This record gives sequence, structure tokens and C-alpha cells, in this order.
Amino acid sequence: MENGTLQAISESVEVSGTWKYPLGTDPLGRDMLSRLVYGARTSLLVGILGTLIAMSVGVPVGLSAGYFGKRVDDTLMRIADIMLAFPSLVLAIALVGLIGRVAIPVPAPWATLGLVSESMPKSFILPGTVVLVVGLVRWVWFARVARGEALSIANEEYIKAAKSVGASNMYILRKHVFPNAITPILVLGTIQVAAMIILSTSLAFLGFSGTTLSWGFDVAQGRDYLASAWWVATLPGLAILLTVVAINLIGDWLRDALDPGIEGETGG
Amino acid sequence: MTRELLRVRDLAVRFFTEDGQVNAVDGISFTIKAGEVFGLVGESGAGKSVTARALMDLIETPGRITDGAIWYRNPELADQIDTSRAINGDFVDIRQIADPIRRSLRGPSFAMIFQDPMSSFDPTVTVGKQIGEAVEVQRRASADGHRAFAHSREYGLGSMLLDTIVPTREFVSPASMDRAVDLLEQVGIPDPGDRAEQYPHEFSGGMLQRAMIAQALAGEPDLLIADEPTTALDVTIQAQILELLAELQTTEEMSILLITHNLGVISQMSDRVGVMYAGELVEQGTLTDLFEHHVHPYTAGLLQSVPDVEDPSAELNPIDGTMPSLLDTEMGDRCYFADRCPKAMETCLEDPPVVDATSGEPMTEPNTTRHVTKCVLPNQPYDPTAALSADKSNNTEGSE
Repeated sequence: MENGTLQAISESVEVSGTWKYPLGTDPLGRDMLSRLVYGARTSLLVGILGTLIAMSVGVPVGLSAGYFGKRVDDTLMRIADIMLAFPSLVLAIALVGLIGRVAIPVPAPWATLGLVSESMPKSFILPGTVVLVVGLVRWVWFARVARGEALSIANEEYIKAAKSVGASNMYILRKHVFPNAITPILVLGTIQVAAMIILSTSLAFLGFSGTTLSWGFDVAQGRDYLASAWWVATLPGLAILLTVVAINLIGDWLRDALDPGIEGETGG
Repeated sequence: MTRELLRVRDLAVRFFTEDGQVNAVDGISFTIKAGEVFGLVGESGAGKSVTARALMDLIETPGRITDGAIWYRNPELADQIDTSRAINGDFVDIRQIADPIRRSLRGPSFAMIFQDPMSSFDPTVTVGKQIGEAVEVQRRASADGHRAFAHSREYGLGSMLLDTIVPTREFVSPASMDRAVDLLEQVGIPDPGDRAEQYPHEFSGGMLQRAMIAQALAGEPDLLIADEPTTALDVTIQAQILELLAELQTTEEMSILLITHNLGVISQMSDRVGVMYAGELVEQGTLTDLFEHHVHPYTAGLLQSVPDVEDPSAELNPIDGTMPSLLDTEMGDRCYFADRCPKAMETCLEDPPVVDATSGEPMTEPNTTRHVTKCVLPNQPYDPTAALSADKSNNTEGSE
């Protein structure tokens, strides 16, 4: 570190750590600590944006399937079943090939705020393909949960009451079914962020990342040096592990906080 | 004589289950006049609630209205409809009109209050807002001019997306909220302004039932369907709710279809009464027809199984047995009450005709404002020698 900022590129390749590059550099002389820190941004953004995409596809599909039932349900859920039949990683790789390369430049917030230090990146490339792909692979989970909720909510008396005063289906779906189904969707959402991070790093490990700034890419790169420099592959791997565990813990906490039933059952 | 509002003719609702076809409502006809209370009694599972839901078009899969007509008097609507089959004078057969038009009748034409007020409100929305929604739906629909067709356009995919992107967007306008508060006041909720801001769990059962009545009143309906409105409430609240309904019926000039298994409620509220058994209307007529000059043995049995306030020591006379299965394959074509009927005869193994209760004259065009019954007794007084013996009735059951 120098002047309080991370020195991203070394003049020479330093495999083992020095004071300047505590975790050493990668074979191209890039500081591993910097890569670890900035890799978090890629992983979290891919996880969160991918989840949002999966939600925005899966929730409407699931809610309509559960609410309308009959043929709508059959059609949508058969499509979902077909999606589920593919292993997600294989499907993701196929989709990456299908969609091609979409890169989204994202301005770093400090660049727009004017708090720029010369050595800091002004923007970074978000692997748009990966975001899209993980979202499209995972929407089925949301569809299934949303459908289950909508099925039980559709049979509630208050839905009949809403119909009996003349509310339209769209209105009932948006204002009565959706708010009552939101809890399990949110809980699933947090857990899916973790799942998407794993999926996107797996893709990166296999070389389908769209960016080289990714923990998965680092693990793949360090794989060749496991015998001589184990930390190159291990540390990004640990970063993935810690992030996923942390997000899952948030998910567990959210479930307990949002569901009064669980507390009551264990307490009583 | 007041005008007729609703003529239900040969209405049949069937549920297509895995076990077979269930005839929940099996060809019933009745008439509701403008401004009257029509009571529908019968034991659980007789088809009362299904009848109500059929009128509201709220029958859910695997159920379907399979037959019959629901003629609803609405000259304004009759002018708008092109299908001549669906029109008879000022009456419109709401079974034959397009779905969006039929849906638009919910609220301004028919409104319904449900059995259990606690589960009939969305727990995530304030009570005032839920009543406001009903007001708003009607307000928007009528502002559009051609009310009948406006409905489906009112809240479509576009509004839904916009609401998701901008979660602070309000569907219910302040004017509708004000009206909701007025409605709450009208149904006797103290401090309606503050109450409107509360969620359903902050209300008591009786208060929620009042709120539901307020919601039903939002569209100023011609017919209010009250499906066991007091079942979930205790007796004192029950009396208050009935009083409120009676009062509103006169001020709002609406008809009420009152569904209950409580004969006390019926005698207190109704002008005319229909008795349902196993999906059929076995007897109907005015309150005095039914309570004093009843013909059908089931009506008699129902009345005898009510405790007598004058003589509390008197033994209760429940009707023996239970209602038969409504599965089509097990029903056959006979009087469904014959097995439990103290006056069953050989002729009861055939489907009894619907006849005038006093003259015994068969009803071809079911002008059902008279006292009619679906029984052989008016034409064939009970003769103990022709009585249906127990084993014969069992045999028939076995052979079917």
C-alpha cells in the first residue's frame, strides 16, 4: 500500500508477499490484495443484479401461475420444469454462448463524486452477460416459491372479497397477492445472491466471466501454482466462502425476523 | 306489488372432482323482488353458499355453472347488450354476457359479505384503504362513461408495472378515502377517521363485519348477498349486525339474499324464504307460508329441531340421518330426502315435481313468487299403507 491507496500493479512479479504487496502478485504482476478487494465488487454486484433479474422474471411468472391456475399454471410451470431439468452450470454455459458478450461500463462512484485519486479506476466493466445469464438460469426458483404462495393466497377469502367489489385480476395480483407473498421471496432472494455468486465465480473459473476481475478467475489462475504458491488460489477461494456464508447468515436472520411463526414454535 | 329484481331459473352448479361429478346446486329456481330480503336456509353442504357464489360468478375450479339462467333486471344494461338471447324485456341473463361486463356488475349490482370477517380482509392493507379500493374501482369505472366496458381497462399491466417501479403511487384517491370514512361511519364504527388507518388485526370481529358491510355498500348494490354474516360472531354482536343490515336495507333500498342455517335469523329478517336440501330448493314461500303452512317434511323437521324458548324442557326433535352424498353417481333420480323422511312413500323413489304447495298444480314456468314445494305430498296425502319400508329404500340405494 502507498499513500493510503492500493498500489495495483507492481513493476516486477512478486509471488510471495512483500510489505508493499502483502499477498504477492499474480503472474502478470497485479497485486493480489487489490484483486481480492475489487473482486468483491464484481461478485456482489453480479449476485445482487442477477437476483433482481431472476426476481423480475420469476415472481410475475410464479404469481400469475399460482393465481390464475389451470392452463396458465400448467404452461408456465412446465416451462419452469424444463428449465430445472438442466444442470444450472451447463445451462449457464450454453446461455453465455447464446447471448454473446455484453459488457456494461459502470462508473465508480468516487469518480462521479469527484473524489478521485489518480491511481483509482474511473470506471469498471460489469460482465453484463454473466449478470443476465445467472438471472435467467435462476428465475425458476423464484417462480416456484411465488407460485406456492400465490396458490394459497388465491384461496383466501379476502381475494374473493376483493373480486366481489369489482377489483380486476391485475389489481388483485399487484396489491393483494404480491404484498402477502413478499416474505418468502425476500428470504429466497438473499440466499439466491449467494447462489448466484457461486454460479458466476464457477463461470469465471471455467473462463466465461466477461471480466478478468473476478475471484473465480483468480482461483483458476492460481490453480497452476498450487504446489509452489498455494495462497494464490486459496485466498480468493476463502473470500468466496466467507461472502457466501455471510450472505446465507443474513438470509437466515431475515427469515427469523420476518416469520413470527418460527419464533413462536420454538418458544412455545 | 314490487318489481322483480332477479329471476334465477334452473341454476345448476357442478364440481368435477376426481371422485366424480358433484351436483352442488341441482336446478334451482327462485325470484328476488326489489327491496325484499330473501332468506336461504338449509343444513351445511346443502348448496347455499355455492348458490351465492354462482350469482357473484365466484365459482372456482373444479366447479362450473353448468345450466340455467340468472335473469337480472337492469334496463340500462339491457340497452347495451347486443346478444338478443341474453335479453328478455328489462331482464338480462348474466350467464350469457361477456366476462368483463359480468365482472363490472360486481359492486354496483351485486355485492357480497362473507362468513368470516377476519379472513376476508387483506392483513397487509389498512381497513380504510380496502374500503377505499372498492369506492375507487366504482368511481373510476363510472367516470369512464360506458361503465360496463371500462372495468378491465382500469387497472392493467401498465398500472401494475408503474406501481412496481414507483411503490409510493396510490391507487386510492383522497376523495375515495373520505368516502370510505363516511361509509365506516354509516355502519356505526366510532371514530371512523382513526379506525380507517388501522389494520384488520386491530379490529374486533364485529367491527370487521361492519367494515365489510361498508365495503359492500361502496358500489351501492342492488342486491347484497349476505353469506352467513353472523356465523363467526357472538350472539350480542350478531343482533347488532342484523339490525344494521335491516336498517341499511331500508335506507339504501336494496334487496338482500340472506344465507344462514339459523332459523331465528331468518324469521327476524326475511320477507320470503327458500329451504335448500342436497342442492335443491325443496320449499319456498313467504315467511308465514314456511313457518306456519309448510308442506315439505324437511321444512317441518328443520323447524322442530329448534329449541323452544317457551318450553325449555321440551325434547329436541332432530332429523335422523345425514344428507346424502352429492356425487352424481350415487344420487340417482329420486327424492333425496326420502331416506330420512318420516312420510316417505313408494312414489318418493321417483323425482318429485315442483308443485304449488296448496293446490298441487305443477309449475311449468316456475313463477316462484308463490308458495311452491318439490314434494309429492300436496297431490298425494300421506298414506301409511304405501309407506316406503326401510329395506326397500336400502335396496334402491344398493342397486344404483
